[in-house]
Order: sequence, then structure tokens, then C-alpha cells
Amino acid sequence: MLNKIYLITIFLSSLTGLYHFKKLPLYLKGLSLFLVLTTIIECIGYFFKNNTWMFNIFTEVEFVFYFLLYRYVLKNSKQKKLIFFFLISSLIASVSNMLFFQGLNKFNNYSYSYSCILLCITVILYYQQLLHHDNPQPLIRVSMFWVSTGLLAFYACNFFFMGLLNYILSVSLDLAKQLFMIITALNIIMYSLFTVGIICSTTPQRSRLS
Amino acid sequence: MLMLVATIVFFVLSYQKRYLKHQHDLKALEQSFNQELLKSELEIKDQTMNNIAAEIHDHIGQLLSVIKLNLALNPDPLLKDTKDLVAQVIKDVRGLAHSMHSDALSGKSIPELFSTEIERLKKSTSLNFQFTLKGDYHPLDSQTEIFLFRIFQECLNNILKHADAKNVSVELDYTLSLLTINISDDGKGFAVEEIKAGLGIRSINYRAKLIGASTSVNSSPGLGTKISLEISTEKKLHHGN
Repeated sequence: MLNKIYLITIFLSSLTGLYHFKKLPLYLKGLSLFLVLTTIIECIGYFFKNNTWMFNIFTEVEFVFYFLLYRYVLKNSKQKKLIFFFLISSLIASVSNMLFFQGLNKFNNYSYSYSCILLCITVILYYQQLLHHDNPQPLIRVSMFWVSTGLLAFYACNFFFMGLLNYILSVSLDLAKQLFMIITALNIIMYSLFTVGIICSTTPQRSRLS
Repeated sequence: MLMLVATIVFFVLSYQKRYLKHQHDLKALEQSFNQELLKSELEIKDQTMNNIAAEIHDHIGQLLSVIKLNLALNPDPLLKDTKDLVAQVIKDVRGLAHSMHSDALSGKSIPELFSTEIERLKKSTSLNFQFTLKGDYHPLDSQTEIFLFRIFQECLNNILKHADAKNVSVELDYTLSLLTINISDDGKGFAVEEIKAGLGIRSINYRAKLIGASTSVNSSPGLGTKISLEISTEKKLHHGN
């Protein structure tokens, strides 16, 4: 049931992105297209059960996309460099984990948790940029605030859950199922916040914060 | 999870605080900009009045004096009325020029300035003026007195332009520490809360604010208008009494 709600949420999110596509700034256009890709991947994952390899690859694509997104919206050149370092570092960790450590058919929780931490730091850096912005706008209208809050909520919790996933799977399958329910609920929250971010970016405002 | 919620709440509160501060700063900046704008408008208005006053005094006054001299050379008794009229016009024009020029106002007391202006308007308009002076006159610094006179002129200007009044009452009330100026008319009045603050009302309020005076406007449709202005004479005493 929760999985269906999740699929509906992500489908609506990508649909909202496509509906407002022309009015969106470049970074949200990118996000909208990425949401379409995510919807396709999630649908494939929903119907084809032997999909760990696909999600191992896709989660890294996700991280790369989010790092690129923040590299675009952050203004400070030092922070941009740092995000680029995060991107490369996450990519190296993931590829080396796939090739030399956990392989493709086991969930790559080590590199995933590592990338989660990097992404959370990135979101905090974005929050810091918002706090020091010269012309703060009502937070409700800052689209990237909603996107960032969704990402922080999801990845900060997932760092613990996914980090321990392989261990939990080996200990108790029931516990793992409950854990997946929490992750699905967090996914629903994240994509709902993405939808809010896309909608609020299309409402008229004086000047937009990225 | 709790830490995550705390982080988000902390961020939202900090951001909101900063946003509100920014809005407050913007409002203050806008207010100061508007004040500067009004100050410039008033300065331009004063400068224009000074220029017009100088032009009236130096050019029109001179021409009228030449006309008067030419007429004086002609002994025709039929021209006596014309000569008197020209003499009156010269006097009125000088009076007008003096009431417009700031430099010509300094050195005169407020009651003097007010009564001169009232006398001038009595001649040129159909309004009935009643001027009352209560208490002992305290001299204020000349800049303040000029500002008070300009406010008075603005009030009379508003009455002439908008009030459709027949009678105007002007009262200057000096107490030990306070000067109260009441200007009331029996004109058509207006709903105070509905009237938009035009340059007239704004300049009255702004000039009053600049000299530390408080103003109040009481009016309602059909019941005339009363403008009161209060200023402390203690702070503004020129040489003390």
C-alpha cells in the first residue's frame, strides 16, 4: 500500500515538474527531468524484483545529480569546489565499492552512507547560503528550501537505516521490512516537498533565490 | 531524527528572524528615502518661492515703480485713481514678495508674520479672518518661526484651494512652555481617514516633525476643519525670556 502511495507521489511530482516545465528555472528543469527518470526506474523496480544492481547504479546517479544541482545553486566558489570534490569522492567510493568490495548484487551501503553524509553537508551549506543572503525572501517561496529540506530529511535518516541495512537483513527480515516502510514514508515526504518546491517556484515573486 | 527536526526548526527560525529584520530595514530605508524626497521637494518649493518672490520684487515691482513715476509726471486729475491703484498694487506686490521670500521673513515675530499674511489675504480674497493672540509672545529660533509660518501658509493655501470656507479663525496661544496654533474654518470639511496625504498635508506634517511639533487635523464633511499644532517653546527659546 505504502509502495503504491510512494509511486503515486513520485509520479505526481514528475508530472508537476513537466506541467510547469517552461516556467521553471534551469536547475528545477533539471530536477523535473530527473524526477521523470526516477519514476521510470522506480516503476521498473516495482515490477522487476531482481533489481539491486539497478538501484546500486541509480543511487550513485542520484547523488551525482544532486551534487551537480547544488554546485549550480551555490554561489560561493570555494563551496562549488568543495561540492565538486564531494561528487568525485562519492563517485570513486561508489565505483570502487561496486568493483572491489560489495559488488553489484548486494546493496552498496558503505558508499551509500558515505554519500548520504556528503549530501547532508551540502544541504547544510545551502542553508548557510540562504541565511546569509542579502535579500531574503519569504521561505515559503524559496523552492530550493523545500527541495533541500526533503533531501535532508530523507538522507539524514537513510544514513542510519541504509548503513545498517545489510546487517539488519542478515539479522531479521521482519525488521528490514519495517525499515523499508520507514524509508518509503521518507521517500513520500521527500517527493512531496519536491512538488511543493516546484509549485512555489512558479508563483509570482519579486526576486527569486536559488 | 530529533536532531534533524531541531536542525530544520533552528534554520527556519533563524531565517525568519533574518527575513523580518531585512523587511524592517527595508521599511526604514524606504521611510528615510521618502523623507529625503519630501525634504528635497520642500527645498525646491522654497527655492522656487524665493525665486518667484525675487522676480516679483525686482522685476514686476520695478516696472510698477516706473509706471508710477511716469504717471506722477502727468498732472491730469483724472489719473488720480489710477495713481492710487498703482501705489496699492506696488504695496501688495511687495507684501506678496516678502511673504514668499524666506530671507524677508527672518527678524519678524510669528504674530507679526501671521497678521501680515492675514491682512494680505483679507485684501485679495473674500474670506473673513479672525486672528487671536493669547499669552505672551516667546521668540523661537528664526528657522523654527519660518517653518511655522510656512505651515501656516500651507494651511491657508489648503483652505483657499479646497475648503470653500467663508470664515477662518487663527489662534496663537502662548503658554509658559507651549505654543499652540489653531487654524479653523467653516468650509465643507472632509473625512480625515479617507483623505490621501498629498504634498500639502505631507509637507505640513514633515515640517512639523522637523521642528519637533505635533499636528492634529479634526474635520468631517460639512463641519469645517480644525488644524492644531503644538510646539514646546522651552526647547526652542532663542534667547530665553
